[in-house]
Amino acid sequence: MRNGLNISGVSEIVHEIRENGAEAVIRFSTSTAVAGDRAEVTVGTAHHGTFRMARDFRLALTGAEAADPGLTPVEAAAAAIGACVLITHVHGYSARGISLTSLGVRVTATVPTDAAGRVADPSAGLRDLRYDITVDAEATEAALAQVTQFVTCFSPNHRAFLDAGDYDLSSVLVRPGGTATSRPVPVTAPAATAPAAGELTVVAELQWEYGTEAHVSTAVSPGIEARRAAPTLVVDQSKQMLGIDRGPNPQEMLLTAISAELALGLSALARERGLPLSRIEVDGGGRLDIRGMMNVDPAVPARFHEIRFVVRCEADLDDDPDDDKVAALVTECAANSTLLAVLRRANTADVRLRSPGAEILTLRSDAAQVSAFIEQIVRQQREQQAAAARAGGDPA
Amino acid sequence: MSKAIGDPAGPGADRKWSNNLRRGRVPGPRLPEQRVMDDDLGMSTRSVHSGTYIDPATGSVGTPIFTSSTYEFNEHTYGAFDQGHIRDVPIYGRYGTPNQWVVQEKVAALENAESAVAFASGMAAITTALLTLTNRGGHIVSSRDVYGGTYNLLREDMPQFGRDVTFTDPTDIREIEAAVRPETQVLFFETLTNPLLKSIPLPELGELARRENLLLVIDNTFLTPYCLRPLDLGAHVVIHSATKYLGGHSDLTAGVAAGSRKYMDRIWTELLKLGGSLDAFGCFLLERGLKTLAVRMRTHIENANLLAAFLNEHPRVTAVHHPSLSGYPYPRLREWCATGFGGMVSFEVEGGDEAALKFLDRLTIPAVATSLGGVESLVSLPFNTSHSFLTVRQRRELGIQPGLVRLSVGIEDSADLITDIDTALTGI
Repeated sequence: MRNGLNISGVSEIVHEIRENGAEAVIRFSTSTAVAGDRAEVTVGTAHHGTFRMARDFRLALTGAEAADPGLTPVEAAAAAIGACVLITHVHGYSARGISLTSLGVRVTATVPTDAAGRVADPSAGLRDLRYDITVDAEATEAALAQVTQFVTCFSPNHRAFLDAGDYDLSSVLVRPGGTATSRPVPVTAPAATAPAAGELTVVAELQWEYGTEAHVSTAVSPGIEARRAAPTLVVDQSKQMLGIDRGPNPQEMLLTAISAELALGLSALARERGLPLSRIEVDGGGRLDIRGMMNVDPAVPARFHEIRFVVRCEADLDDDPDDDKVAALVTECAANSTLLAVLRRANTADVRLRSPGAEILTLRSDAAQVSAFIEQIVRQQREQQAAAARAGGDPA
Repeated sequence: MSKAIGDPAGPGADRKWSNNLRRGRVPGPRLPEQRVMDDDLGMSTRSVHSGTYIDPATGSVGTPIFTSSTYEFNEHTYGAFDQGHIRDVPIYGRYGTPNQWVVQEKVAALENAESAVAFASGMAAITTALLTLTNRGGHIVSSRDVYGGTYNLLREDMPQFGRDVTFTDPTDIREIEAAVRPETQVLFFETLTNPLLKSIPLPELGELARRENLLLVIDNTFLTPYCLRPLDLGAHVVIHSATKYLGGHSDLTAGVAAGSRKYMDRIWTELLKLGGSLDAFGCFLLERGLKTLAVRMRTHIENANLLAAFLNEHPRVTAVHHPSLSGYPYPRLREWCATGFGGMVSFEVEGGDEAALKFLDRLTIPAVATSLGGVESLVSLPFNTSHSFLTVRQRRELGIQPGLVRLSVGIEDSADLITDIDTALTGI
């Protein structure tokens, strides 16, 4: 047990995933339904290799413009990225024998808005993403800096943010009587850009509690920052992933954020277009391969990947909307999605690491930085292996 | 103190355990003084020798009883704390002791398992395993026929812990399949049900678990590894009330779980919190019992088969439940239980519960008592003991008819048992 991570209970996991890659794959899921101006998200059972991890979490998200605004999708996304960065740091420190006193991650990002306060350029995704990491631990600055550099390479949500990726999106129309038709929705071209007149600033403040548990406060300004004085979320890993099931994990939070944005966006668009949809649901899913996170196999992506969403609409009026209309609506909604744009495009993040009284590291994390650091790691590992072979020992 | 055998594969001066991508799975936990027998050796050889601790100072051929509740720290202990493999180093009585490791190795060898965990009772093993292998919000599919203590845990306590449970007919694979939900995590069944000795479709349950990514947990108390090794048929974890056949002498309360090191490590972690660890003297008794498991089971099986045949012909007996009989409704059990069906026999006495009570009064050899699996024959009536918490209707739904007698056949001379039971039945 170090930093609250129960490493004794999973002593053989690295051995296992080296021998049997199927055990390294974890599939997460969420299901989201629109109820009034809220998106109600249920975290689904996760599949970890050959066993299941039951989940027991429900979250309600709203748009910022809701009468009683709750957690918004962009706040949830910032929390999801920050939580993954924080938890990956805890793993990194623990693996190196570094005991933590405290750890905080402040995530900020901006979203350009038009004169009416709406998102002006969804294709930009989240701009100006920044992590301010504050750590208090018994370790050298070099060791702390190295962990942060590792995190920029192996945090699955950070890499999903950083890398240009894709996703699967499909729409399902369920007609009165229950017949359903499905069709894929192409990865969408960016929506037309409106002139930017201002910006929203999104903040997620994460404070490490113990183990993989963190408490999160979020804010969006201008707008609802005043309500966010107290922590609004708890994120944690399942006990099978060294947590204690205190909250959804970072990947589930990311699916929650994007699913809610799609569900709320589609609901607003259908209302605006007068399309008679009685029920809107979004099923989200994604895949994590912990061989990638742990650099067991360089060919395995470290990022959260194979992200997919199925948008299911039910129509119950005489005016039966056809598949084309629904698919077009989902396509337009996806084009207006800030968070899908985050998955689609390559991004950068500015990282600042501090300890009490010291600035330790600043870097811009992007594809080139990640590639250069991984090359450096691989080179060092080869040198260590060669040295061990020369000495007749067993390379660690 | 001896260095744990786990050390060379895990940590050590030159081999860090954490942050090391080359570390390998560690067997045990076990000490270098413990015997490791080849897998292809026979059941008796393994039950006598596997895991036994040979004291290097005296050369004693039996395991000493290590009564100490704590062990001096040294570089290996500190290394274990630092690197996270404290299950492999003697530290503290609840964490693991040489005597626990001896019985764990013996049971693991008998069940073809990588590892095992000893508990203070079978119920401690079941509770700890089920809480370990499920999360809040999870779901367990089990049997309406499970042992009463297990049933109460599943019905009364698991929902309090956020685990829902569905009870099914354990012989009906379609009903079991239909009970599986997206949040189902564990299938929990007994290899033979109590008291009617119904057989579960174990290979199909293994296949269902594999197909649906479920964990199959099997209570193998009634059959023991001498008759059946559930891990070979797809189970992930096998559990015993070691109070019964594994201990074998009705002088011990203990439990065991066995399976892969992966799941045993996790169950052990939960054991540390729930606290149901087995003390050294209990381990000594269990080890002693395990050494004679095979020879005892042969006699239990032979006696049970003889008694079942005898009772099946007796005019005062209206029904006999035993897998050896031609009318047994689950004959497929014989495909995966080649060596026998344990020592339990159930039968219905003509005249109902009143006649059954008279029968018990007239017996002179079997003791009228609960439990099973000891060298002495034990007899009880489910209606006023194990299943007394059920209504008459619920008992009938399970197939428990008035006059049902549950007999744990011991290893006494079979002719004496038959004579005693015949006399008792005839005089009702």
